Amino acid sequence: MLSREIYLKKIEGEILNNIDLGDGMFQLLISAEEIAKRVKPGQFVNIKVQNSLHPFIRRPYSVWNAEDDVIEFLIKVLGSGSRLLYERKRGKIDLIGPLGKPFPDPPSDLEIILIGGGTGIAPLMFYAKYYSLSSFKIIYGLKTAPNEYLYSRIQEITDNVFICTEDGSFGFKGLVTDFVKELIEDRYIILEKSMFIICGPLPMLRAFKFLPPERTYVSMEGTMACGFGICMGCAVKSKSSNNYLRTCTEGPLFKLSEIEI
Amino acid sequence: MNLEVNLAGLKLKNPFMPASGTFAYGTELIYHTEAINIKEFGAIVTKGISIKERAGNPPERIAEVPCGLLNSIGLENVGIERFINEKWPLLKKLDIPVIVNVFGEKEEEFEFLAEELDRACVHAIELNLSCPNVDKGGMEFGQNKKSAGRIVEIVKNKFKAGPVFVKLAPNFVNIIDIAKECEKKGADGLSLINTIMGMAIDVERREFVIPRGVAGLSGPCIHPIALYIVYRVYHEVKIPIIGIGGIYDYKSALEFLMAGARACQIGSMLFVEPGIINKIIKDTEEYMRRHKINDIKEIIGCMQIRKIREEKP
Repeated sequence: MLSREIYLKKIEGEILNNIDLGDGMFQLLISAEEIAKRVKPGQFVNIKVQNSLHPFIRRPYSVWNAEDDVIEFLIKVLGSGSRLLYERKRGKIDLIGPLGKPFPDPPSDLEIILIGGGTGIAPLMFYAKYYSLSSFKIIYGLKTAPNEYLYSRIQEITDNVFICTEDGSFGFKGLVTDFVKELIEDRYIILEKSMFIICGPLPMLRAFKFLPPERTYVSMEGTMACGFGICMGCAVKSKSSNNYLRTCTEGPLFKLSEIEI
Repeated sequence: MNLEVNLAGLKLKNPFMPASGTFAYGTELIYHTEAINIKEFGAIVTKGISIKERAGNPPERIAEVPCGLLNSIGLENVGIERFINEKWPLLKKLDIPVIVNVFGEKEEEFEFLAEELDRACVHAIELNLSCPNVDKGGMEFGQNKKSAGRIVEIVKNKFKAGPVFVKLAPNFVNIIDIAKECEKKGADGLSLINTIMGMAIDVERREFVIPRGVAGLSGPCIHPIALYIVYRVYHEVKIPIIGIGGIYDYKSALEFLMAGARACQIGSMLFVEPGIINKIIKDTEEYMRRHKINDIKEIIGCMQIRKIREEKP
């Protein structure tokens, strides 16, 4: 059976705006009241990028923000689907969602460390905003300095943000994993009193295996054909049994202790 | 207007049903009526069930290709015992014919599954003799006339609760010969076709996109191939055929019926449009009104036999 939080319904949205944010990223604003009212942080929407048989499958994107009847996405151009979506500036768009399990309710006794890579920052920002988190930090890794608008959006949520860039053009130079290790060494992050939510590319998630597995959550993004639990395509190996879990329905967020990555 | 068809004794209120492996166990979406109304389906076809629970293949399991997709799920399923205890009680309450797809690595496994499903009184069996995503069983049997016929004989001997369909694919074999042999050994119908073996390579990494290399190709890109096979086999056998392969709207479904299929299964498109079967039913009714067709059977197999020149293009 599927979670009550998923809403398996085709919804016709309207693209309101589509803005280039540099470094191959763009902001997509869609009017879709039914989704905006229901969606919780961590959930995704399965988008049909255009009304044709190719690209065949929908593209799942995590929601960046939802306000009134508008949902917002932060997307990077990676393949044919995101490329076509980047080019869509106006018009109707076919959506299914919200899908997937929302992120867990924030605990009151732990500091929440949100670690994002690239567009992986999107659901983390939504999480912090949605729950008006008080005790939390954002650590954000990018290839190069974030676009001014993107940076200002993060700052709207918190001043407690650390940026790492691979080219050193902004903030800490280097990988986000190395920076987190430093913060732990400096006791700026107290390992025993923190919960981690990490969202970014798979190699980045793997590099965080040193964190406490019971209090570290990683957001997975295996290729999925359906997004609602029937194709069994987006398999993630379970640690406790010989079986696989589905990213789309048991995830996308998993405890490090639950899965093998 | 009548959309009913009789599929080797199974009475379907319309010819449209999901394909095995694209609708999980049929129970997952029962309450998601915003998108899917299962009660309107002609039948339900389950995921392939084996004796023991199977974990399936490691990721990546899915790769998109032009107008379709490759999958390598590897028959992940809960096994026969859990299927009968956990899924079947809910499925049988739906009051829709349920076809249980089964898979085995050995003849004895097919025999055992047939016995168990006969005891549970499921409405029909579909023998998966054509899955490309496992190392043993499945396709091995469907690639060889003798072994395919033997499995049919064994299963027919044990399963008396309803018809037995055989699901085949056109990989390196003359599917007509195998279809005829299955009919000779007592198969009640044929499901044509399963996914076709395919492959995708990531040229940047010089790796297969799907680690196993080979995977099953499905989606609209295989529709013309499947249609041609259904048309050819229809003129060679007397048992009913279920047409499968890349259906994406009512027209691509009706093409199968006109080519000779008595019913059809919708697969990959369900991933993209969960409500596609309901839409096909509705659009077919509209088509029948428009063409003043009172009974869907009027169009089944309506394409005349043409002399087919396969050797000379």
